[in-house]
Amino acid sequence: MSEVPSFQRRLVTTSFGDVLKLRMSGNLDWKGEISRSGLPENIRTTIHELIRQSRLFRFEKTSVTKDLVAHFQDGHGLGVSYDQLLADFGDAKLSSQLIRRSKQRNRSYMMKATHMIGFAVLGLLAIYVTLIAFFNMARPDVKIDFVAKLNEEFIDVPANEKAWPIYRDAWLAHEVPLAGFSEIWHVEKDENGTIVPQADCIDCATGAGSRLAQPGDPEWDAAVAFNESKQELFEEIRLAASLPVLGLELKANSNEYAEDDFKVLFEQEAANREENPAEVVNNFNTDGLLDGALINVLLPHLDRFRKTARHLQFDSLVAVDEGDTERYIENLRATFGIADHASQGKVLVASLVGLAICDMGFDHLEETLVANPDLFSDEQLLEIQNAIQSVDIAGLMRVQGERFFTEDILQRVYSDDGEGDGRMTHEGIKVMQKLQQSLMNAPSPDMGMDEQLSDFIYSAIGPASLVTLASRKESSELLNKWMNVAEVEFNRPWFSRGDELYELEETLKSNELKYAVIGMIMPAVELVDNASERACARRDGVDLALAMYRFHATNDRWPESTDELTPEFIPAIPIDRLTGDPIQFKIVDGSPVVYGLGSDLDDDGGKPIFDYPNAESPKISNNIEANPQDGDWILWPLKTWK
Amino acid sequence: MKLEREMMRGAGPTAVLQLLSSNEMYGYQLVDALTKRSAGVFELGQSTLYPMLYNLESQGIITSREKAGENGRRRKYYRLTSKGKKRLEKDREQWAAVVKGLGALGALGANCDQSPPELGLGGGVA
Repeated sequence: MSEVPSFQRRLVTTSFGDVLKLRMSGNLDWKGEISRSGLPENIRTTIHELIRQSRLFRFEKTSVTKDLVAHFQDGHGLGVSYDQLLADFGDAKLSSQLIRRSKQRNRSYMMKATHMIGFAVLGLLAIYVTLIAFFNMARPDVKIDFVAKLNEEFIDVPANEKAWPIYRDAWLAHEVPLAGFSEIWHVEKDENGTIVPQADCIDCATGAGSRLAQPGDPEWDAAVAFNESKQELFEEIRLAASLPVLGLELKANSNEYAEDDFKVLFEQEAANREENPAEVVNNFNTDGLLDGALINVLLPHLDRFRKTARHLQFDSLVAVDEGDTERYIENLRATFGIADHASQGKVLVASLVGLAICDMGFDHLEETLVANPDLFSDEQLLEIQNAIQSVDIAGLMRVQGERFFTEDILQRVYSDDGEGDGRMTHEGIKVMQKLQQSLMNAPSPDMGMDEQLSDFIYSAIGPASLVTLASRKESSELLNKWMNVAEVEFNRPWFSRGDELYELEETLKSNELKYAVIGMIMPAVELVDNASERACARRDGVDLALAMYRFHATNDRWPESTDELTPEFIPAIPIDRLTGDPIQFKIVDGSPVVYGLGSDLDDDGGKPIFDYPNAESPKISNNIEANPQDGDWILWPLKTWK
Repeated sequence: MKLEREMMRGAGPTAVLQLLSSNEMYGYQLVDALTKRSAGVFELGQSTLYPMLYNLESQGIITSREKAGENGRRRKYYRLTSKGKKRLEKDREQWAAVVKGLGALGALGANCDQSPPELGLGGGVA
């Protein structure tokens, strides 16, 4: 008596239709058909082997089994012995092959297609499982301490040649708050106590709509007295600004800063430190994945420099009021020194701050000279002009830190094969997710899933990155190429630029998915490039204006052409950065207007372009625009155009 | 006399269709009939019968159904489809032409100028 098949056996040997009808018929149980046939063992074995070797679908096997069982039963029923039947049957192996072929021919197109798709899916699944294993075996290998590399350039500079200790000690000794001195600002409030934004607001973000106090303002006397009390501070700042090297050793972990540095850099956190000494001030919440990474280096000193430049600016206002032109010039020099120190952070954001501080210097010089054309002696004007000419805008564009930053991210995202190449890793995907969250302020893609689940999902989907993302080498090569081109282009005026930088950016845009990692970490070159070009143009405009003021002081008239200025008052007329031709000047209402041709590339006689109605200053067009406005590129007077 | 393999490959399906032209038959019945009614000429290697049937079925020439026989045992019965009938008609014509041609060449010998008596390739069953 044959065994009753188990439920599990019946389940796997029941056709799908019967399962849907909840009938565990076991109608595809070809082995059961054989064992229940009552045929002798040698015939059962022959049928079993024939069917097994046919590698047909289960329902096909069942059908053929029934035919063969019936065949032997019928033969035996007609009186033929089993041995004879087996002998007459012939080659079972050949039969198995023929049956397989004929049954395959019998299959419908739908069945064949389903079969092929099934095989394809299984094949892809097998490939993907292999990729999962391959992907999850790779680990990033952080070999280079880029924070140390960022600092190594000045690490051997003697302490007394570094500016940072002087700045730091001065700020600490004079209790300079991170937000700067509030005592030097003019604030106007309406009857409700709300601050009224000032038309000439110069630091709207921090001054909350205020401007520096000026003679005649109610705050002026108190501000001047306060400023007087800080003269020692300004002496120290000017001394620090005169040194070439800042020498602040940046740290990825804020707790590694020496106590005095920490107090200056993290004022609020230092105050809270007594309560929570272990608290780490980190830029990005990366769950430890980016510990020690360059991205976690904060640059709070940049804001210190901005505020300090403002303090010097106010001191210069007071100096002008007091007729202390030497102090004014020292402050102007110190402003450019501070700009250079700010940019020694070697990342583009530091360069941007450096450029902004330079602009403060240009602005204040213009305001001072336009309001007091006879304030400075000939020698002092020359001194100022030399200071302006020495402002190295290209030198402020320090991108070494950006190279380090991107290479640091790559080494934390990709594995390392020891030959400069590697593949995306599980940790790398997590780092990119965290970076996306932090850099773009995007919501977490893990949607609040617990860590294990998100880990599992990263493991499962991560292997797709092996075929979609650029390898470490490809990414690194493109980034380096881009950086090399960017560094060269930064040092060229706009008119002589090549297209290589933009072609590389196009490559990135058209391969957005492949270079997703680079796309996320690439610095905002366009922003900085525009700021750099604008600053260069501004410096050159101020230089030419100063030459004209010096000419006026000597000749008691304005020059009629640039020929009168060179080489006595200026070595060469600076070039218009859009055209490559000398910049222009014109005398309007008894004062010089210095300008370039602007984006429309024609001479509109010093007609300004404004970005929007009632804009404070004309626009410096730092690029050839597709639809240029009619007008020129005003370089002097810019801040005081009205 | 048994046909050689290549010859059987060409003639076998026609012989099976001929047997199924009058009534439906199951597997062993076909084997038995082919052997007996062709005087052993179409004695099939039985292992090749089923692949042949499945091929003919895949071409729509024959069809099958499962039913219980006289002894109550369930088995698959095969019969001709209309396509199969046309195919058989065509095969008959072709075989008649072959026989006629071979006869004209004298390849059939003196006693071979007629069809095997039981299988009746000429059209009818004797």
